[in-house]
Amino acid sequence: MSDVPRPEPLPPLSEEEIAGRLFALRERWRNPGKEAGQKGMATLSRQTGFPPAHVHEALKRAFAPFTQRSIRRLVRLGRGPRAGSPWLLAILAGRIPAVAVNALFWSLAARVPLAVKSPGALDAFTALLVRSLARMGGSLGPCVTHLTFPSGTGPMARLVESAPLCLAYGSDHTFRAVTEARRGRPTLGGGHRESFVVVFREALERDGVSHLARAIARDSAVYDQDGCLSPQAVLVEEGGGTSPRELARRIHDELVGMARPLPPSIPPLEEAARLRIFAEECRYTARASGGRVFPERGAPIPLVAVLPGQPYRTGPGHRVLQVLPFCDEPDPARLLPSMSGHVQGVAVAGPRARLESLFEADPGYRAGYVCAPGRLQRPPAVWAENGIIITKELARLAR
Amino acid sequence: MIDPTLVNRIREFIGSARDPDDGAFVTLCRAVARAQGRLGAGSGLEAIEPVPEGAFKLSDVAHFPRSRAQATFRTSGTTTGRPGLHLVRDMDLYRRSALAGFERYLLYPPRPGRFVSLIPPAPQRPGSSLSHMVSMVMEAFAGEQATFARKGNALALTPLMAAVREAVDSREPLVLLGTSLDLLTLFEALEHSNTANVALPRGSRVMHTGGDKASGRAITREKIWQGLDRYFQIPPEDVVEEFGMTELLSQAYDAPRVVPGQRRLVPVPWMRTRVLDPTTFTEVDSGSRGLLCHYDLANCHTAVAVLTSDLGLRINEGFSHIHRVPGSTPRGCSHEAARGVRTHV
Repeated sequence: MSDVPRPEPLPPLSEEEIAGRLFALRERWRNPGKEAGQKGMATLSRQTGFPPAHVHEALKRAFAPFTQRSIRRLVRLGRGPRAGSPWLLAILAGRIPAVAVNALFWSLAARVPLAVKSPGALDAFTALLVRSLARMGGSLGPCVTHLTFPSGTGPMARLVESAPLCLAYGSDHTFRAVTEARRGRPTLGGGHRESFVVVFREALERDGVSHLARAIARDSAVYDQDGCLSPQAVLVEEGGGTSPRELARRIHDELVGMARPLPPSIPPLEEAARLRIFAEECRYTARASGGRVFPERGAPIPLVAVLPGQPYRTGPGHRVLQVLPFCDEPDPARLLPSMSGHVQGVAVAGPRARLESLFEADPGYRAGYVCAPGRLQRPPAVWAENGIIITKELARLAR
Repeated sequence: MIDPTLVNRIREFIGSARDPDDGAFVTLCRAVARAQGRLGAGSGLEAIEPVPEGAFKLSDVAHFPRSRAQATFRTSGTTTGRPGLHLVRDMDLYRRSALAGFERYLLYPPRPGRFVSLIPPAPQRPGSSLSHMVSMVMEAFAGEQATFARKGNALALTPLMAAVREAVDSREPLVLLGTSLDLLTLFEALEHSNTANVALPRGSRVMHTGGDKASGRAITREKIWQGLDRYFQIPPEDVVEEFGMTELLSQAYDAPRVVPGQRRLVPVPWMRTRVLDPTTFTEVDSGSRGLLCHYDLANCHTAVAVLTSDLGLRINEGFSHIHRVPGSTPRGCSHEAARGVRTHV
């Protein structure tokens, strides 16, 4: 273990001091361009694949939940005695900066120092984040280290096996491999997760539909559907003031409009091929089944498909939504068969009690985060990611 | 139903297309697309809306009732719970297409008279388009000199080597047909047996077809060339790669004796392959990669244009370096053949 930099234990700070320092970190990133610098922002754009305006939005959203009040609450949740000097290995995945920000705030709020292994897409941001903490002064800098050695190497394998606590993200395969390698040591996080939207007919009156369509489109456009809270499917009740097909058309129109404030990533060849194949399969199926795809031909993204009678298929991301009509109560096992046990968030338009009936009927679809459309990509500082409030759980495990 | 007159025109085109006539091909292709309801705006092939390969798994892609299908070809992989089905309305059209293509790209001089297939015949694999093609080829061109070196799921080395020795003795060139995986299995068997390497008569050749990656065993074409040179002294110029898909009734060939220049798969004259930029859906320049979209006149009863889940490199009128788009169902004739292939010495 001597070849691996370990984070130092937190100094004896009061709750107020920890909260103050975390808030100061958030404040430094209020203007991401200033904190990262022009060159830094360009690197972030290149590494994440998000165009500059999108990176800017992603960074703002990453820090937005951590208000003074929410940080205080977080720090209170993380209080408690500590046995020894436990530290957390965070194995991040994906390209959304919020994942790194959350890991840092959640662990330090629990007084647990952190070693972060970032994926390539988040290497530059993680380095900048750790640098910000170090530059800020106030003694928290040494409590977070950024691991820069490649995955699959000996030091990383040893860390995975020996870290007292671990927070891991990635595919189901990766998460399983990490859990198995740790042989019973606590491992938080999870594998593949997806989110969906449910629109009950009460929310389909014409007055509010434009707002609803915009909110769903925004949740989908932010991060190009690359997050576990990105909606992939929209369950829409038949018989309301607006038909599922009309709502789909409006969502598509809104998605087109979002290309300006939230420019989409340019997918590499293989992903572009997947998008094209998915789009053409949807179009073919729509023609055969009386469904509809917006747009009917041409560019594969953004795309909204209404395919009556067809269950949700794992989508290719990049602003591709599947609208699934239902009558009476939605049957998630029929509509979203592949999502059972993999749901992270649900946005609901209409009575929440009806959503609760859905969860009771099939707990496999219960989500740790339930919100209104437009809020999926704005989770609070404290929420049950993969069903667990990480700070609280870290505090418990560190006792 | 597709107008029989149109089908006859296609039959004639296949029979007469010694040299590709692009204008006539495009006209026929558009006529078929119009009949299939897949012709949009534009004046060339780009106006045809291709049917995605995955559609063959989702529903019946056919312009005739299922009950009138003369054969049903099945793909090996499945993600939707049902394999891809290609309902074949007109086996005679498939036969004409397969035989004319084979003759054009495999039977260059000196014309071989002896045929050995490592691929099982159609009665053993009724759902395999490749097995049907091989059976047709053997019946049409090999006559008495046809050997199926296969026993169930196993390669049969004894009849294979007997046919090889007969070819050597008679000094008649031989054609060996197999999947890439069959050849890999054959090389392994020859390596472990005491069989001496043989110099097959000049003009002997091999047709192999790819798609072996899904089996977990793979062999590069360079290794195939090396193996055939080592065990049978067949030079790489006489090793012809065939490209076919269950969803198509025509093929492409990499036959350097017929199509010189950089090695590439070139479609038969009644099929075109466009390599498309997946975002713009326009054809990429030669030397660039994109999605393969095949336009096959023999598919007049199903889908004249098929958008595949294959990425490939465009080389002039042909293509090369094919690989599946990640996340797509593995496919390939070797994948089909890989189910339990072993060597029976």
